[in-house]
Amino acid sequence: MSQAVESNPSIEPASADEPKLPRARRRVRPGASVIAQGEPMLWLTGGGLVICFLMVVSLLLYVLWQGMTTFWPQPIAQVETIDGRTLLGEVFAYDGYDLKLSSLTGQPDAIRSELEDILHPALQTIVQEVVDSNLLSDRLETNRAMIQKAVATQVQLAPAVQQSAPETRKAIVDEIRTTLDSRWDDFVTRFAGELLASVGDVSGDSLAGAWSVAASQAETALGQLDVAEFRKQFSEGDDAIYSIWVREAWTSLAMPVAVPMRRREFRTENFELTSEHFNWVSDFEIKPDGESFPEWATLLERVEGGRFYGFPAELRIDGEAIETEPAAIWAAFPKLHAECRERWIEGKEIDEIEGGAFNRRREHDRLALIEVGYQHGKGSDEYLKAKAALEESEQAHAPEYQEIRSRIEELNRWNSRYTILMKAIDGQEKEIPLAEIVRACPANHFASGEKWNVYFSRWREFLFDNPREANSEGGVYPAIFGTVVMTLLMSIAVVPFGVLAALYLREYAKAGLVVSSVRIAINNLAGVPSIVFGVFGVGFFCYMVGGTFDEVFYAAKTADAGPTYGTGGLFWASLTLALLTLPVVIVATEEALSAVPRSMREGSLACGATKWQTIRRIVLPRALPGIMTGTILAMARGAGEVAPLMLVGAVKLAPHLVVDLHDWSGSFGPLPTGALHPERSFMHLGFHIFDLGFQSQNSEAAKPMVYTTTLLLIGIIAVMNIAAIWLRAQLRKKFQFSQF
Amino acid sequence: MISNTEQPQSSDATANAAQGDNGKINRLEMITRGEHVDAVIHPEVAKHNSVLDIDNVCLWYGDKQALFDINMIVPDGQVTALIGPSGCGKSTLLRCVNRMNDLIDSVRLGGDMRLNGDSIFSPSVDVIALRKRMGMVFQKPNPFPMSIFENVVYPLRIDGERDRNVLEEVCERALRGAALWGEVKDRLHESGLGLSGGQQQRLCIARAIASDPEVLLLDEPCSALDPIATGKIEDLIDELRGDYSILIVTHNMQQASRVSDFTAFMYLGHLIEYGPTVSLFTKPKLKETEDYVMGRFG
Ligand SMILES: Nc1ncnc2c1ncn2[C@@H]1O[C@H](COP(=O)(O)OP(=O)(O)OP(=O)(O)O)[C@@H](O)[C@H]1O
Ligand SMILES: [Mg+2]
Repeated sequence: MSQAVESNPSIEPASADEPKLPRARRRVRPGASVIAQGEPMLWLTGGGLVICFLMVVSLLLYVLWQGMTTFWPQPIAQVETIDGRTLLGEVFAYDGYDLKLSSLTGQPDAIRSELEDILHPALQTIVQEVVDSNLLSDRLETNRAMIQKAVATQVQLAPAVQQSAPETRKAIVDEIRTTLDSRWDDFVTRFAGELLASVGDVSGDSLAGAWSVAASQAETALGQLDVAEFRKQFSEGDDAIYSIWVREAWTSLAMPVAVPMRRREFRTENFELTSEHFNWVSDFEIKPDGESFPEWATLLERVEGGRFYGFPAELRIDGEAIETEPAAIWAAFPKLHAECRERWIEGKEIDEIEGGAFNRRREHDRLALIEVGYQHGKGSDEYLKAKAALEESEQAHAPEYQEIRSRIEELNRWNSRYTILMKAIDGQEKEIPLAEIVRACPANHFASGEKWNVYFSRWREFLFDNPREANSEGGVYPAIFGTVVMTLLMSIAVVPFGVLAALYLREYAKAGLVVSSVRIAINNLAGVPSIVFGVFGVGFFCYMVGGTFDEVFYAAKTADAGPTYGTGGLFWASLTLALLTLPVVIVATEEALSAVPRSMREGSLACGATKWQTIRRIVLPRALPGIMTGTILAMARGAGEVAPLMLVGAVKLAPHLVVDLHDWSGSFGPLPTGALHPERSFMHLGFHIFDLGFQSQNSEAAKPMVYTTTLLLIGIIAVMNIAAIWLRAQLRKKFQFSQF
Repeated sequence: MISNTEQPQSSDATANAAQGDNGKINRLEMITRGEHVDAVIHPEVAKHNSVLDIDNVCLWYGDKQALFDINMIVPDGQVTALIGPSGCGKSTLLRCVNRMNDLIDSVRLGGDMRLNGDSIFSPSVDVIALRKRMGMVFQKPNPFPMSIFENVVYPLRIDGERDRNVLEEVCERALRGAALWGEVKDRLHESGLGLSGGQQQRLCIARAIASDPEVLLLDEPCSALDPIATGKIEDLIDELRGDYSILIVTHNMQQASRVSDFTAFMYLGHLIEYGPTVSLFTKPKLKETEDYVMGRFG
């Protein structure tokens, strides 16, 4: 018994006679308590969060503000400038700049004198500041003796100078100046040079006035000296000395003359008349009361040819003016305009749907003929027979086409009767067909309700219409469509592969060198620049896989009309992005899988479940929220990616959507894709932003569209994320853990 | 069965020999030195039919041996408790029975176990089929992320049982067996994770008995529970006695003495003494066992 007790000292009773050892205790040093409570780390971490948050929020708010305000109808301003220009347009941008002495160089006289007037008070203020500061008197103290001596000399010499002949006088003055100069060498020579450099060739009257003001201010400061006397002696060139005085003080105070100015960019458009889109006007250029907002200044957004700013002069039917008063024109305009637009849209639809079907059938027949030629040779009987058949069917279909064309022409003829005569601000007139006007907006006349109408109609057009004017106006519907379809296709491709790969890595593979290196490779894949994926996509998917596709299925068509799958397109773009986002899905899925508790797997295995049953019934459902997170991240990443898309199929302007509900034949040939045309190139919001902002001809005018498109892209990604997050929350609720 | 009757006899002889040496050798020290020590097995053990025979089981985690020549039989329809200080290999032994140790790459096995005569360790055994003949309950309740109903019928689901009536019947029987039916019968289709810890553990027991196992393996089923939940589980084990053969690991001496019919005392991977619970707790043949059950060490 005692043996057992001895072998286990932990239950031995502490005997009373044992010496008591001092107990070691933790002490809190007062100096360390702040750190101990973690306060500095709280500030550091909290600060980090706040900075991140501010950066993100300010970016989002900026995009939101810019994006939301773009479509609001701006007032249309008319400005008259002092150099005789008159402009009509919207204020597009503001800019601040500094007016400097050097800005005077090379300006026309009217502007120049205006600018000098603006500069004058600034110069005066500066001289005043120099005078008010101690600088002059400080300088005076140090040089008092010298100056007094110099002045004394001058005064003594004065009578002699007065009486002497001009040449002598000049010589004497020069001598005195040399003496002075040599004494004041240090600052006279130094600043003379600077003065000349800064004034440059400026020698206007008002500037000279400014200098003399400076000089007289300095005189006041030099009160104790008999400056008037001194000045009288030096009837020539004395200004310069005073100027140098002032100038030196001024430089020491480091106050360059710079008057903050504002200028505005007016969007004046009427490009076909003026060859300009924008005009910068500084505020000083505008005549007094030269800025007004004429009630009937009207903005026309046209289908082609850009915006037009002007005044409605006549509303015409068949060349006859039916209204000539702006108010009357505006009253009659909406009804006629709506009718014309309806006809215009109808014509377009006929052209697109019926004409499109006709053209597709023709193209289809033509390719079929080429196919026959390819198979049997151009001289063969089959080919000749097929050719004859084709010609016959062309003949048979000709009236159908004629009919389509004539219907469209009829609508056009009808539309061409209605026109509006607009008078631009410079007096030129322009007759515009009503059908070509997307929207007319006499913004100054509008009450706010009508402005809201325009605002929403612009948003509607933006979201649901095709782009106009080289993308810089109109809608981005094709880009929205392309982005969403591409993202969905990408997710369909990436999620199964990613999840399977992660399952293998986490559940089946035996941990070891191979698995580790595969994992490292996947992580590195996430760091590969996306453009590299684009290059890979072009080389592998488009040229190799797509090229092979074309060879096997579309040989004849490729030879005739170029590649079908062997070039960039939606399908390859989706696969490329799937590759790009694969690591995101794999890593997230692996993490989700490893977060499934071991006890659950053991529980399932102990019930006699096989490994796959355990995975399918226990592990995957538990990991699903995590897998969803990975998918969300991948989708967000994929939807926002641009660089690789430029190489594998995103284009500036796609002639057709990738889903064509009027054409269920799929692409020509044997691959049955129904209404989906995965081989087509597509538009993408991210690429659209790049194109608008940096590639379009009138990129200045497209800037606001950059913001709205960005806002839209962020919005779409946010919607997709929120939907996925909601889904994940539902799943989580289902599988949540309760702690007892 | 013949071997079953033979083995205890030999063990008995060893036990007698050991008894003769009582007080002269210290088994625990011998084990610490790495010497071999024979287990003392009470003759009463052999009077029952065995459901599980454990023959010379040795187990290594890599180079480290965790079980040394364990020989014992688990009587049919009785509750057998495994006790011993922490790290002595109770869980390891239990996990050998349904070959859960297979999941650990470094494990090597020696000897064999037989479940109603069928070898467990032989490489040709279908592990999945084997596990279906047993139920296991873990230290921490581990219900699956699905409804209570689905949790209980999980073993049938994986067997491909679709018949709603069968499933419902099994579910009710198992939940009643686990004394949980009354508490959950109105919310069978809510998540099993929404139950309290004690209820979750009973749910796991229900899952374990749903497939009518030949042996029920319980690894410290009450260690995460409060006394009331523990009491319920103990009552439950008491009720299951006779219908199921139960092998339970516990750290709680009172629990072992309350619920079990037989108790095996293990130390550092060795079986030290094995016999009816009453005699092991009141008149153990070895001083080491007495010290342990009296709480003098461990
Ligand atoms: N996966 C493993 N790898 C290596 N060694 C292990 C592993 N699992 C258990 N062991 C070791 O095997 C020995 C027995 O462990 P086991 O878990 O069976 O003890 P136990 O009796 O159940 O203890 P406790 O009462 O604390 O649960 C211990 O020394 C332990 O460190
Ligand atoms: Mg254990």
